[in-house]
Amino acid sequence: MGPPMRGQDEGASVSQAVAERPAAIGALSRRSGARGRPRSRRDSRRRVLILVMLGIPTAFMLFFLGVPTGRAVYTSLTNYALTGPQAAHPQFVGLGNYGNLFGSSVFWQSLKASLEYLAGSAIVGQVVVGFFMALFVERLGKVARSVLLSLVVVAWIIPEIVVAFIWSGYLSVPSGLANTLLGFVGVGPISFLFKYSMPSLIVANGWRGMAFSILVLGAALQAVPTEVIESAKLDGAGEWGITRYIKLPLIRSAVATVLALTTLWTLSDFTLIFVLTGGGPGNSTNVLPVYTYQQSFSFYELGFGTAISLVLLVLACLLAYFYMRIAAKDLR
Amino acid sequence: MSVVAAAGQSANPRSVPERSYLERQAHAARKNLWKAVIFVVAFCFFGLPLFLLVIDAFNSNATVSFALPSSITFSNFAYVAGTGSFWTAALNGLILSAGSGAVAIVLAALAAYPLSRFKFRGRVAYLLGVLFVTGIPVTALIVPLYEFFKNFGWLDQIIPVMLLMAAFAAPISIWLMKTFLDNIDPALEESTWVDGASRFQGYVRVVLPLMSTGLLVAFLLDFITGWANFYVPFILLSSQSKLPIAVTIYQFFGSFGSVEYGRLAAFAILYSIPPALLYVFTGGRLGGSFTTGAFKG
Repeated sequence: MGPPMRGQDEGASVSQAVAERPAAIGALSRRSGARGRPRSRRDSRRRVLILVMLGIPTAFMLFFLGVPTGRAVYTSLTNYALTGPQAAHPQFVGLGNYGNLFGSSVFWQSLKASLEYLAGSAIVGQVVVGFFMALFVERLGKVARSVLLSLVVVAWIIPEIVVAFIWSGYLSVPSGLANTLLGFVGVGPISFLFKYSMPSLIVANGWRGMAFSILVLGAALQAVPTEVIESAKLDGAGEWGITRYIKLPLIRSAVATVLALTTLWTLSDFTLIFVLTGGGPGNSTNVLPVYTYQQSFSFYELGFGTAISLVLLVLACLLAYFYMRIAAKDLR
Repeated sequence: MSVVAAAGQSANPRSVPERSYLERQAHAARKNLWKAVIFVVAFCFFGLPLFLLVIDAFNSNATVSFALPSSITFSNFAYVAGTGSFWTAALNGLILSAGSGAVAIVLAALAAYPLSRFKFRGRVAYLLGVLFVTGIPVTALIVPLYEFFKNFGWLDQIIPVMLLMAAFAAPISIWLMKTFLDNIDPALEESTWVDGASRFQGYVRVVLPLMSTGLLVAFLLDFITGWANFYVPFILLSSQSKLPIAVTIYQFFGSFGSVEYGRLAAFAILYSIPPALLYVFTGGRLGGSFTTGAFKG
């Protein structure tokens, strides 16, 4: 409230506001009138409720996810480092980090490793093999099915770092379990993680992650109406025909969801590769998350590391966008 | 395989009934043989690595070289559970995963209500945004987050790390809670408004208790994800006394991995028990939740 001397001014402005109000109210009621509801106290309380209940979580997420992302764009344009003079006074280097990044052969090796890992582990290893596993599991008897599914789910529910230890022991040379078994048939020993580093990672990650596609695709397959399949059989369709032309189109959206999510998770996978190969040998498995880690926290080049992160982030955003589009289909 | 050969639209509709009894028997036998072969291969593929873990955990002399134990022993478990650091790390892991899960659920419970009950402008855009953010992986943001934490002086502090994990868990929790809430009849809460309770009160007193199972599922999903999270605490925490079990087990592997394989295996099993038990506890309900959203960032 203003001092009493300005009372008249205030009265004037209030009456002015009152004079303007009918127009404002008219505008508002026209708008809400279109929705068939007059604007009321309940309406504005509703608005406050929405703002508060959505605002708190939104602010929280923006603070922890949005602010760092925004800063990252800036950091990637500086020569920020963890130690040395650049730690205290990072300098603006423009697109220098990106120039170095795209000019670095290691970056391209890293991108190639990431794409190989994606194609091998996410697309073939988890979605394609997972789809056939889901089809197969469907045909098994009750006991066989629950035995197999239990193993698959255990592999999936145990923490990733444990999976990494298991596979490092399993594939170890010269006498880990895999090589011991190969020895019985007179093969090996094979130094899997050195000679076949990427295929080994693809298999290990498939072992870990296949449960997701088997469970989701299995559930979708069960939802396919049996009448459709029966009538196709009467029309003489074989098993492959039914799978290819009836089941697959019907579970398309489940396949798309699984594909989008496994691709995202595989692209951002760090732990398994970090523990099993550390990116080697010779950068052959140095996928983008491991490369980011190496540059940022082993070589302390945070500006350069951030630039790699942003490339990874852009790829992830593309995939997240596709996932969003797929998942939003049943949104209204 | 005749199964494949008989496939396709070109197949003669009457080819199946025309087969003789013996032919059909032989066909079924071949099919069962294939089934058995595939089953054994899949069983070994998924089972052998797990078998290795269990065998090593009960073997006091286990090394990277595979060997069946000469006798079954619990000494590895006793050793790991007997160290104070194991329990400190387990407690830290519990604070990070349960704490972040709890915060995420509160945030999700707030956001889910307007998203489910009101039609307002920007609602669909918000939901799309939530879906989009569920897809953003923490590995892509870890370097900027490190810098962010450094600026605030939050490096090596458990609570900020827990809150960060909550922020990453929030989007999927919001999505799940919104889906659960959509399935609850609004008439139930509307009856409370008549008694003079506000919308918010009606939500907290009537609706949330009704969807307690949904809240639990969403919380457990966040808990399991947080419990397994290695990368975030590995980068943002450093004091031995603050590290969660996900990181200390890695250190154990790095220092003694090839020497004390039995203890590592026992450690790994003890670490894996909580998520496995919780999965069983929810009766596989988690599997269904995953169809609608991301899990394991």
